[in-house]
Order: sequence, then structure tokens, then C-alpha cells
Amino acid sequence: MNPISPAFSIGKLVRQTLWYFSRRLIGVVLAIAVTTAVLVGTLVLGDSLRESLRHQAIDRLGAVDDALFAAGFLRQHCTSEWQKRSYVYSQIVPIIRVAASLENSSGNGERTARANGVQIIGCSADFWTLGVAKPARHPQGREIVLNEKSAELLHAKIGDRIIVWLPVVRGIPAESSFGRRADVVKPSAVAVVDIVPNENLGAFQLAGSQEISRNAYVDLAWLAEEIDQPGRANVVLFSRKAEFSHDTGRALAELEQLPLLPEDYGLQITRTRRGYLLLTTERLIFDPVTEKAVTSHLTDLEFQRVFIYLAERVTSPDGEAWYATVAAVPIVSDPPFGPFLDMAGHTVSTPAEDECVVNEWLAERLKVRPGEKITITYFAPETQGGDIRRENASLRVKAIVRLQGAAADPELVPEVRGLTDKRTIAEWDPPFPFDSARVTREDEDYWARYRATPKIFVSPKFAEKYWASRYGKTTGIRVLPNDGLDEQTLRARLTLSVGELGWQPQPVKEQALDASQGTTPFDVLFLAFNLFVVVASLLLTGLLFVLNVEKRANQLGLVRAVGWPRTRVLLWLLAESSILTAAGVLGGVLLGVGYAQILIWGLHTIWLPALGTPFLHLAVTPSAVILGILLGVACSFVVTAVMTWRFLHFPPQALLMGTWATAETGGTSPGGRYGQPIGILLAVIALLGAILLAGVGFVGDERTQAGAFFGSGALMLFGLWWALVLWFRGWLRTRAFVRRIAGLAVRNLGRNPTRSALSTVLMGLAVFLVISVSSFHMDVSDRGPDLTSGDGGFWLIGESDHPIFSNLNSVDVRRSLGLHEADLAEWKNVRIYALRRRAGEDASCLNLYRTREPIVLGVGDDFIARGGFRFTSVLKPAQGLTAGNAWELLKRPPIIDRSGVIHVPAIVDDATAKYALQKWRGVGETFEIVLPTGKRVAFEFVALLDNSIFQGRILIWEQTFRELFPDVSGYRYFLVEIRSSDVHELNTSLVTKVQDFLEKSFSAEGLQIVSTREKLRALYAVQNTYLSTFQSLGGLGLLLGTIGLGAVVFRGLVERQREIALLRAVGFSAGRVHLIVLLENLAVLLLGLGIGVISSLLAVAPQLFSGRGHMPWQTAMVVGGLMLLIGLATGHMAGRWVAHQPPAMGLRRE
Amino acid sequence: MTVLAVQGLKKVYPSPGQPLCVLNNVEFELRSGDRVAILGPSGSGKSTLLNIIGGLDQPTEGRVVVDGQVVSEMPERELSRYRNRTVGFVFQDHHLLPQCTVLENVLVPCLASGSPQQDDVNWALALLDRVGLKDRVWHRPGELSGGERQRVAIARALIRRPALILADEPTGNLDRSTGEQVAQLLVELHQEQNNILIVVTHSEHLAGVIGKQCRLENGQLRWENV
Repeated sequence: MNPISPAFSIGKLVRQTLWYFSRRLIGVVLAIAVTTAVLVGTLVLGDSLRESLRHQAIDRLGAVDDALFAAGFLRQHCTSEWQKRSYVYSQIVPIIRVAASLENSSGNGERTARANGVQIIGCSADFWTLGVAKPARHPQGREIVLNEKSAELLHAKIGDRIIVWLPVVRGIPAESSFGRRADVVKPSAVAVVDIVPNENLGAFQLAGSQEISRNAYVDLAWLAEEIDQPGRANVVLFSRKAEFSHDTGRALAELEQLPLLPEDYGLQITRTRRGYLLLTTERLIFDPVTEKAVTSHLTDLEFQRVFIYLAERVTSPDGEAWYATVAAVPIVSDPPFGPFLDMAGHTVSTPAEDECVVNEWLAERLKVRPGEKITITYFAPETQGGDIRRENASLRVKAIVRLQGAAADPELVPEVRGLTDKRTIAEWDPPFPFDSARVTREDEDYWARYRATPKIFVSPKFAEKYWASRYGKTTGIRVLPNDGLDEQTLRARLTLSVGELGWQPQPVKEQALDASQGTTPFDVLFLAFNLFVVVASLLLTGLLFVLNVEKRANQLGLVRAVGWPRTRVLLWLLAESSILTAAGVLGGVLLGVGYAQILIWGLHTIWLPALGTPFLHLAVTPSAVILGILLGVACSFVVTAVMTWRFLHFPPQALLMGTWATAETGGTSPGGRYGQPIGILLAVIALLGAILLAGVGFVGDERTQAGAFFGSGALMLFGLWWALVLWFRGWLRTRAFVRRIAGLAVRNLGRNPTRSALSTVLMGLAVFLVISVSSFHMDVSDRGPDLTSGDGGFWLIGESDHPIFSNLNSVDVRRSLGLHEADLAEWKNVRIYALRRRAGEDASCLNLYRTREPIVLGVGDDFIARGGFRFTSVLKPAQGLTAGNAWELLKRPPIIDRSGVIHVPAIVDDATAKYALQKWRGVGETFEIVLPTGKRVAFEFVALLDNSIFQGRILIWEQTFRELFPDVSGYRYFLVEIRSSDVHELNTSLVTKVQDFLEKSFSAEGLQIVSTREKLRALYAVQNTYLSTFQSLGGLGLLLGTIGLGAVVFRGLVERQREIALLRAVGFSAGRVHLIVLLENLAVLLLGLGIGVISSLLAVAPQLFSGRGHMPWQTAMVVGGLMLLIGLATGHMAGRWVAHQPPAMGLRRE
Repeated sequence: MTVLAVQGLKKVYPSPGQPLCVLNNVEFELRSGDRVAILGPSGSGKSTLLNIIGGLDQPTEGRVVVDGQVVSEMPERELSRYRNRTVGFVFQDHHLLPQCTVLENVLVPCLASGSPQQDDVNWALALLDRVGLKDRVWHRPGELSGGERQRVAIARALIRRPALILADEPTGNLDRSTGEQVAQLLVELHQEQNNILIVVTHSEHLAGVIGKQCRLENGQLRWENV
């Protein structure tokens, strides 16, 4: 019995083979490790980004889960009432949140440092219990705590005194003709008592952006007093109990039911002397949502809507009167709302739309009788560009009523600070134009006796037609106190819920987590950047693996000869490849984590413009590692399998004799008899295709051009490379014989066509990608703004923290700001377009968070008429559209569909639509937001801008903007056009002067102006950084490939020792042999470089011819130079080594 | 009894000039127990004839029939089986796997369809003993002399007890003395196994050891000393 057991198997053969050839196979394992490292690294980077965004989003919210944004200001105290009855929430904290500008001139003679767009948070000590970061002590009174970001901008330290420009909060909308537009901000001096880190509540932010918010914290009570809202807050923060942390539905349901007392939503209830209850609002006019909510609780009561207005002047043919109150109210007979009795004692009814009822005082003043006409001059309900417009209406006097009873009710008129609280009319401090000289003694007598009692009564229909605005059409609601209804009962009845008033609680934490998913798939992006590294390492993997197999070709022939079927041979090779792959992949995982860390370092330093702020931290997730492993395994396995597949089809005797290589060079050609013609056809088609595509590019626009030429270059690269492959295989070779050393070197490239082909494609592809991708580089023209470019012809762009109401094109306004006559003449060609701006999230490429509510801009008629900018696509123009002006499409009125969604035409930047808002189809797509009132608005994209300054914003018509967002007053976005017949002759110092002047004039409003060129550069910086990253990593891949190629060259020479020895034996000197090897190496490098350069030049042809764009000559020269240097160096070392081997050694058979 | 019949065999290679006809209507028949040496100058087609008989190459015309089966018409899988079970190759270059031991090299054909069994191992050991290498079983090819390696190759060729042994210049890389030993071994084993032995050689001396000879010239086979 033989003691030796049959332990020999395929598995053992595989192990022994790998162990025996392990030194040769190290390179394969390393190449696989590199592939896997890149894959794992980029996937880990993607997860790190998502995790970093998520962490940032959660960290800066602390324990805040939900937030309620009041339509105005509500009592702070109501939150403690809510807390007592809350089932879901463990903490309810009121704050005031306003935007402000800060100034610090504490720096001992240094210039004042400013920080605009600072989020001022007025909070109590309770706020800090929502997080872990807190100041040393809570600020009191005139004290402020800054976060590091704000402190850095202000160059502030503890103890500095800074100025905070706080908004002045007024109830009446500023753009109402009865609202105040001057002094919208006021300075408050405060002392810095602490600086908190930019983390946790120190970076408290409700919007999604990776940029650290500029925050400042003050005492809630102090801030409320400063902005004239004592005891109030405008935001309430909610922290859920642990068991409800994921139950958003339950939480919001409770929130929506929270009660708001009338004073919380600005409602005032007064019992009048006439006995009815009057409801008025701090805003002067009821907003439609509040009015509807309130009246819905009065349906079982008798009530009337009242609309009080002011006529600046009332005239008749025989008289005039100034500053008369007009009331639009149904005239009824029953008290207390009526009766209105005419001079004959008859009751008067509601006048028709073209009629009015005047009281006896006015009738006498105007000397009118019933049937005669009077003209009312009034201020239009809304201002235009800060200007109050006057309008007229003629009405026929229906009746003259006695100044008594219901007709002499001064309480119809709501309290208006500066008017109704003044003793005399002359003391009025109104927000509208007022000429006290017009006030007569009779007027003052009337005021003294009757106060603001209406002198004219019109129909509610008239008032609605002429005086209704986006702010509303009701100044008061009179309620008949039936069945014992009193103020307290009415107050209780009108205690409404948050949901009834349309205040939308927001699940801010959930929204932040959703937004943190981001829009930029960094893993996919960086995988694309690293594509060449992956391709290079895969090619190297294949090259090195196949080298090993080639070396053992006789073994494959042997086993086939002794009867192994092809499948068995395949099994052997695949088993080897699997083990190598496994080893490489495992090593690659460890390297991959390191690579991810390196990429993060790169993103925090040289590629920082892509992120904006260095906030990434490494987060290795199992899913990234597993996916990276799977991809690494799949790619490597496929490559090794593909590379070795052909060995299965070589005849066994060819493998045994080593003549299989000859089969590739024109003998038995792969692909059979049709292989050669098909191969040649493929090359011809590719080259012709390249030329055709280039032709397409010439006739297309810039974007089409870039794509077409890039595609053309890629086809050219493939065609040229394929022609090389055919030449290596001998299918294109001539019959001429080699006469020179260089010819011999070039002919030697055909020894191993596969190896030569792979080497040249490695070089060519890298060079092509590194150079041609620059065709997508974006740059700002040095030629100045252009109407049809991304800057639309504007020199400057500005944004303010607070609204500006003045018409900045008005000579009077400019003069009032301090411009002298000489300056005014210079400013004649300066035109400023003011846009409305609704706060929101930046949806540009600068923001990595997913945007839920982008910033919305409202463009006026002047801007639309001007036109300009460049569009990538425009909806088919509707009838009546001015030829070529896509902006006109914005003027289509909103359409409300059956489900109540308001469809609004909008224009956005192409990149914003597709990448930030993920609306890939572009024109025709809609993006929906939900307004605080609960209404849904769908912005329909009617045109897409091309690389414009409006990236990240949605633009709609100003008129639509005012209807949708009535609470947004004034202008906060400005574009400055400076017209000149010749842009080059334009005095650019004027541009600087305009910029400085405007910033200085509106520094309190926080106006910050930059050049459009600077703005575009900042936007382009992201894409350009991505391109640079791609080029850097592509260059890295190229160098990797070159080094690997050196290894391949060296291995190849080891195999050719016999051949080299023969050359030495027939008289070639060592130097000559060295030269042959060097020339072979150089030939591969130059061929690869050549096809890469030719193809890339085609790809960047538009840039070359137009002089536009950024040509990376430097990068190309450095990369190409390094490639040649390393390639020649390795070739030199290998050639030197092989040339100096003793010939006898090489000639020996074994 | 195995019968090998070569019928009207023709092999033509395409070339840039005229096609090269290396085998032109070659015909012969051999049975178990027969052995023959095929002589001829370099490039005369000797190895080609051997490769066609062994199923490593395809004829342009004609056929090879072994026990009624036409080798040239076999599908790939069957051809592999034919080479594994019916044919045993001995090459000029032994083509031993350097990463395997002597024993494992002999057992390589057994891996064609599974793993070698105990019987296979026993037979391999017996063969190695027979060729005088029983003490080198665990050595690797790199530790053997040229003659020893060729003897391993011979053992490998016999592991499946094939009906045909095809040896292509088996002593071509060996010195005269070693070559004689190897040649003698081949003959002895042939006699013991009663298979068909065909040896291709340009060595008259080796041909003499084999016995029956034929010569391949201009594509035609001419029998000598029949």
C-alpha cells in the first residue's frame, strides 16, 4: 500500500504556480490594489461627503426638531403655555431671528470691518440648552456673542464694541402707500462678551448650506425692545421627546393645533362706543389668509368688513378738501352699524360702485348736492420703486348724510401710529406726501371733534376695485355682539390654531437631513476624475498578468497537448486570477481608505473652491467598502479573464513551440479570414466619423461645439490607435525591409502587438484626456460685459440685507444720497436695475446641500424689456413675444390648476435647473415649493440661461412676485449697467466709483457689490476646479501608467535575452543594443504621445481658433515632459542592463 | 489491438509565395506492438505528421483513423479526450512544469478531468521507478539533469496507458549517451506496454534503435528496411 495520498489537484496546482511565480505576480497584485484603492477611495469620499453634510446639518440644529415661523411676531409667553399642554415636545423655545449687518471700528485706527448677512439670534438662556456649545455666559442687555466666523470677518475680539444695524419692524407693509420706507434699519452699539466656535449652536442655521453661517447672539428681551416688538418672537423652536423623534406626522399634527391668541397674530379686539366689537390688525390691512381664518369663525354672527382709505384731496367744481378719510362699508339701517340718515331724515343705503355718500361737513366744504360729481385723488395702494403714485376716481354723490350716529363713527378707522395718535393734523408724521399748508382751520376743527371720522362712504366693490392690493382689502371687521358676546368671548372664539392661520410648521431636522443628501454625487464625480487612474491600473493589471501567462505559454500548450479541455485550462487561469484579485482587492481596501483621506486633504486645500469651506471628515462605511471590493473584483477579474481568453484559442503546438506570438502578426489572425478587412474598415470608419463630427461642431453653438469636438477627438484617438494596432499586427505593413537601427526598433514593436497596442493606448488616452478636457474650462472674458453673455452686459451685481426702496436711477434720489452735479453728469449712463429677492437657499454649484426653497428674484418690466443674456434653450415663444427676447415669457400670468397649485413661468440657469434642482429635461420642467400659507407654487421653466450670474436663483416677473410674496418689500438685488459706446474706452474708475458710492450710501442696509466678472469667476471656479482635479488625477494616472510601462518593458527585455545575446554575438556593441532598446521605448512613447496630441488638438480646436478658453499648455508640457522623462529613464535603465548581460548567458538554452 | 490508419494525408501551409505542401498523400497503417522511426531533414514535415496523428493539428486533406474513429473529424472535447487517453506525447523540450514535483508532473494528464486517484498515483510511482527515478519523486525539474527530465516526460506520456506514444525528437536536446539511454527506455516501455510507438527524429542512430524506419521527403513517405 503506497503511503502517498492523491493530494494533487487543480487547487494545489494553482497554489504552487502562484507561489512559484510570486515575484512576477507582485506587480499584478499591486495594480489590482491600485484599482481597488481608487474605487474604494472614491466611494468612501462620496459617503464621507454625505456623512459630513449630515453631521453638519444635525450638529448645528442641536436638539431642534421643528420650527414655527410666525407671519409676524407672536408673544414669547405663549410658548410656555404650549409647553404645559404639549405631549410631543420636551422643549419649546422662542427666538427672534433677523438679518443684520455688523460693523467693527475698534481696531485702533484700522478701517472699519463689516460683516453683512449676519444672522442675529435673540434668545434666552433656554436656547443654549438645545445644544452642547454655549458661551461662557449668556449676553445681557447691550452685549453680544459672536461665532468665530462673524468674529473673523469683523476682526473682533472679546471686549470690542461693535455696531449692529437692526431692522426696524413695522406692522404696516413698507410698500403700502401707508407704510414707512425710510429708516428701515437702526444702529445699536453692543459689546462682544464671548466668541463661540463654529459648531453646534454656534453655527445654528436653518437653511441648507455647507458655508458656516455668520451668527451673532443677543438677549431676546433686549432685541425685542430694540426692534419695537417687546415680549415677542418671530420663530419658535421645538425639541421632541425621544419617543417622538421619528414621528414627524404626530409632531406636526400637534404643532398645527397649537393655539394662537388674537394678539399673537396681530388681531386687536375693541368694544366701540356704538356697541359693536371691532377687529383690527397691527398691519392696518388684514392679509387674506388671516381675514379668511377669522371670518370663518364668525359665520354664525352678523359682521361687516370695513375698508378705510385716505383721499389726499377731494374736489368738486366749487370746492376742495384735503386728507379726508373714506370708508367702504355696507350701509344698513339697523344699529349699531346703521342707520345713515340723509339731511331729510331718510335712511340711506349702500351706494353703487360709481357713487358715494358724503357727510354734511364735506358736502358744505365742496358745495355739492346729490347727483353732482366729486373727484377723489388718492395714493395708489402700493408704491412703485419707492415712489407713491396718485390716482383719481370720479363718483356721483348719492346722498348727503348727517354727521351723527353711525355716520359719525371715528372708531371705524384703525389706529395708525403717526396719524390717529396725533392731537392735530398739523402734527401728523405720515409716510406719504403731506403738505401741512393744505390743512385749514376747519380741518383741524373737524379733527378735534370727530377725529378721523370718515367723510365719504363708498361701496365695498369700489374699494376692492381701486384700493385692494396684495396686502388685502379689509382694515376692520365689525361684529354685532349678539347673545351676550363680549370681548372675552370673542377673544376665545378667535383663538385660532397655527394651522388655521396658515402658519406652516417645518420639520427642520428632517428637512436638513433630506437636504444633506446633496445634489453633487461626489463619489461618481471623483470616480470620473480617477477614471484614467482606474483604466491605467486595469490595463497594467492585464498587461502584467498576460506577461506572466505568456511566459508560461508552453505550460498551457503542454496541458492542452496531454488532453486538458479548454474549460479546464480556463479554470486554472481563472483560479489564479481570482486569488490574485482577492489579494489585490484586500490590499486595495486599506489603500483606498488612505486615498480617500488624501482626496479630502486635496479638497480642503488645492481644490477648496469645489467645496467652499473645509468641512469634510472621513467616514468609512461598510457599504462603500463592500461596493468598492465588488467593483474591484469585477473589473480586475474581467480584465484578467479577457486578456487570457485568447490563449485558449491558440493551437497547442503553437503554445508549445512559442510561435503563438507570430500568429498575431499576420499569420493566423484572430477573427479569421474576415478579421483583417473588418479591422481596416473599423479604422476608416472611426477616422471618417471624427471628421464628420468635427463638421457638426463647426455649425453648432458653443456648447454643441465643445461636445462635438471632444467626441471628434475621441473618435480620432480611437481611429489612430486602431490603425497602429493594425500596423503592429502586420496588416498594414509594407514589404520594405529594415535598413536602419531605427527601423529595426520600430519593427520590433510588432513582436508583441498586444503589448505595444496597450502601451500606446495608455499614453494616448492619458494625453488626450489631460489636454482635451480643458475645452470645458470656463473663463470670464477680459473684454468687459457683453449683453449676450453670462453677465448680460452688467458691470456690477449687489445684494443687501435690508430692503432698499429708493429709485436709484432718479436724479433726485442720487442727489439726496450725496452726488454732486458733476457726478450726476457722469452717472448719466449708469442705470441700476433693482430686483426683488425672496430669501431662500442658494441653488448654485456653490451649495452642496439639496435645495428645497431656492432664492427667488422678481424682475421688473424694465429688465424684461432690456433683454440680454444667453440661453441654452427657450420654450417655443408664444404669440406676441418680442422676437428673440425670452424674458417676455415671464409675463404670462400665473395659472391655478384644479388642485390649487399656482403655475408660474420662471427662468433659471441651465446648471441650476439640471444639477441643483435635478430637473434634467430643462425647459418645460417644474419645481415646486410650498409657501408659508400652505399654497403650492410650481415654477415652470420657460427658458434656461447659459452660465449666467443668476446661477442658483429662480427668476420670475416682479408683478407675479408681489402677488406670491406680499410680505417681501423693497429691493435687495441690484444690477448695474454702465453704458458706453466703446467698452474699452469706458472709464473703469467709474465702475469702482459707482461700486464704492453705492456700498457707502447703503452700508446700513448691508449692500455689498461685486463685479459680475468676480461673481462669474466664483461660479466658474467650481467647475474649473473639477476640471483641474480631473487633469491632476489624470496626470497621476499617466505617470502611474508610465512607471508601469517601464516594468513591462523590463520584463519584456528579460524574455528577449536570447535575441539580445544573438545581436551581441553577431557584433552589435552594447551601446548599439542599448540604443535599439531606447528607440523601441521612445517609439512607443512618441506614438502614444502623438496620437494623444493629435486627437486632443482636434478636441480643443474651437478654443485654439477663437482664442477663448484656457489651454493647459503648461500642464500638457509638464505631463508630457514627465512622461517622456520617466519612460526614457526606465527604458534607459532596462536597456543598459540587458545590453551589458554576458552574451553567453543569453545564448544558453536553459 | 489498436489500429492506426493514416489515409491520403495532405497538409498545405499558405505562404506569401506558393503554398507549402509538407505532406502529400501520406498513407500507412500501424497496429499495437508496432514501432517506427520517421526520419527526414529539418522542415520535412515529420513533426507536422506527428501533430496530426496526435490531434494537435488538422490535415488539409485525408484522415487519421484510430480504432475506427476519425481523429480529424472529432469535435474539440472528444479531441481533448483522445489526446488524454489514447495518445502520449514526448516532446523534444520536456515541458515539465517547474512549479510541480516530479510525481506531480507525471500526474498532470490526470488533472484533465478531476483529480488523480490513488490508482493513478500508484501507477505514476511505478512508472517513475521503472524509469529509474523513484528516489527523485519529490524533486522539482530544476533539480534534475536533462536526461532525468526527459525520463519524467516519458513517464508522463505513459500515465494514461495510451495506445499511441508519439515522440518528437525525444533525444534532440540530450548528449549521445543520455540519448541512447532514453531511446532504449522508450523501446523497452513500448515492448512492455504493447502500444504503437512513433518516433520522429533526424538521428539515424536513434532510428536504428527504434527499428522500423521510414523517411519523409518532399511530402512523401518512403519506407525503409521494412
